Amino acid sequence: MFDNPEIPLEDLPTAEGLQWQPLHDRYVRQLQVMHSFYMLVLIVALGIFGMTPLAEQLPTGWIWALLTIIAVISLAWPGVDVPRRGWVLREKDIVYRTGVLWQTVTAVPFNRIQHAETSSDPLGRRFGTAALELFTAGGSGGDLRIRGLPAGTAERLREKVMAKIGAAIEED
Amino acid sequence: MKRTDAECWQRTSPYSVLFFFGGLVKRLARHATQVIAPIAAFFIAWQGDLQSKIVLAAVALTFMATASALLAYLTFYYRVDEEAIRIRYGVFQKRQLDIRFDRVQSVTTEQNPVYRALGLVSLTFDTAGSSKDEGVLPAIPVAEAEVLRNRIGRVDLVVADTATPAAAAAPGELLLALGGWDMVRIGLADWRALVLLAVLGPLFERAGNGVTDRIGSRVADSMADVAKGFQEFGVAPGLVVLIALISVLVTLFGLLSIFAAFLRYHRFRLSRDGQRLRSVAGLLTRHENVTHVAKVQILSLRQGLVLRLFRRLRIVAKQARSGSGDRDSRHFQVPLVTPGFAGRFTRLVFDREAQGLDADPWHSAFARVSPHYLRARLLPVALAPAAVACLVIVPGAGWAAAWALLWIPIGALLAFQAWRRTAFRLDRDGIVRRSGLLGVRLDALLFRKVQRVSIRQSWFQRRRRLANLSMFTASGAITLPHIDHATACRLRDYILYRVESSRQAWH
Repeated sequence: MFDNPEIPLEDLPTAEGLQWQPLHDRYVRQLQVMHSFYMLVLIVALGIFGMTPLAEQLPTGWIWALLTIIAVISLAWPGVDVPRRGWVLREKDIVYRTGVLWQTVTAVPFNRIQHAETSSDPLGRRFGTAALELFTAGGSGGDLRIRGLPAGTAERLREKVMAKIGAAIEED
Repeated sequence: MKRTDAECWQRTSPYSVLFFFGGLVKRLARHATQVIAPIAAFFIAWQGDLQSKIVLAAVALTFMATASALLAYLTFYYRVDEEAIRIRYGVFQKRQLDIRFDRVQSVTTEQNPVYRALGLVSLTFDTAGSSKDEGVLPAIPVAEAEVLRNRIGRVDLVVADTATPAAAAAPGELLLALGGWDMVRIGLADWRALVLLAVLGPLFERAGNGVTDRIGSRVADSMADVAKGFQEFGVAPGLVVLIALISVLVTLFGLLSIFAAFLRYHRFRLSRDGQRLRSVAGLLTRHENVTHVAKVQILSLRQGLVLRLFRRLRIVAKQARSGSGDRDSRHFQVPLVTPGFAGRFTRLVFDREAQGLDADPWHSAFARVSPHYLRARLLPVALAPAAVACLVIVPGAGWAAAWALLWIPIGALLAFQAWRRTAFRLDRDGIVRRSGLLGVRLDALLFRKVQRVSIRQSWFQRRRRLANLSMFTASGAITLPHIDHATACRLRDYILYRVESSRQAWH
């Protein structure tokens, strides 16, 4: 006989109090190297601009001070941001948290994932990190992107997610 | 057109050159700012009078557009297999698009007067994938389109013949038919004339300074006459003239908007064939849109200020989006309905689910979000614009810039009204969010159709134990701002439970 009992909300599994898995311990250093490169490019560009006559009309002292502040923040920020990121693989979904000022916790059920991709850039390969990207329906880009994972973990997660997707399709 | 069996690649009708030409013109208009630079360079470099420059530029653009359209036609092929339709296109970069029939969310048919005379239609297939997954077959025979739609499993295509009213009736159960006065209501509510002006405005700019100067000088002369009228005849008659001028302009905008509504929604018919919905409308170009009820991800009911006066609403049923923007024109729309019909339509879409939710935006069960949402809106709506305006105006106007601070109470009122409107109600199966300012908007979804859920907290929200809950579907997201964090967590967990335990397909 068809049965449809009431489900008490208190009995539902919660995404609070989870054991968050951290990102690669060298990901902070990777981000700092990347930001340093961007700052270097910016400094060189400003230095070249400073040699032009137009630069004489601008408050170069203030510009360099601002640049210094940006450089300090961009180097320090990864040390604040990355430890606050984490991921959890559960039986039915994957949960990811991120953010410092704005904290976001996103849960993606496996039976909604269309496909998964891993990627790594040259700097990531140097530090041994990779990104996992999970795609759901309707989005024009990756719907959940976890950067800074250990390369091997990213590959295993992708395989695990694809296996979960396949199992979810079979159950349906 | 070459007819072969389904295994071979076919070309569309040569008249599809018109479609490619029109598509190129639309793309040029959309990216007008990027087109201006080379045109401006030409105008500067070419020696000659303005008239010859305009003629030469027009000839060159027409030639290039025609050549591009011809090349696009010559390189466009399609093939219909057992399970998919495959499209090959591209001049330099060759592409192939494979669209499985079971992935098609909706089929849209368009037939402009030229196509109608030649017995052709354009078919657009929308899927739930990326923007590259939207396939268009321009200028194919009506009979072939009908076969294709049957293979996809949609209703038979019936091309509405505006000259024969009997033939214009759509098959299936007729749910709604809009008449002439409905076009007037739609036109007054949409103000499409403003869109026309937004398109014409840049054209006027590109016509050259001479034209705009002539128009500008005439407007200035008219305003000078009005001012002179004030001086010679007194304030009251001058005001009458000014009010008359404004009334004429407003009436003109309204008439243009009504005309645009007739063009788009003339003889609008909404019908139902089982679980399929079909809409047919259009004066010159007939638009036909077919979708399956199960593919609707978010149901949106909207009522602007003008529609509120008419006691009508507009329905937008959002299917899984192909990722190329969330314009309403890409979704299944019913432009004008009564509140009673909106309620019945909601039941039709949700069927036996979400029985506790209806289309009444003023239901007492709606729960408002936290009053802190009002404070969050004050900064961007009231304080920031006033501060920026003061900073910008002060160098020129001095202390008179303080008048910009009058925006603060106005902005605060708007923020308060936005907070009053923002509310939600839910039941076991779904949720409805209410929003709006002068009008009202309801967005409803079923929990089992959610693709992912996220909870977001700012530093201020963490202090007050509040959060924003976002439910993402394949056609967009519904966000509940500034709700209790514990409630947001419980709702998220419940949605995940519904999604992960549901055996029903989300599409």
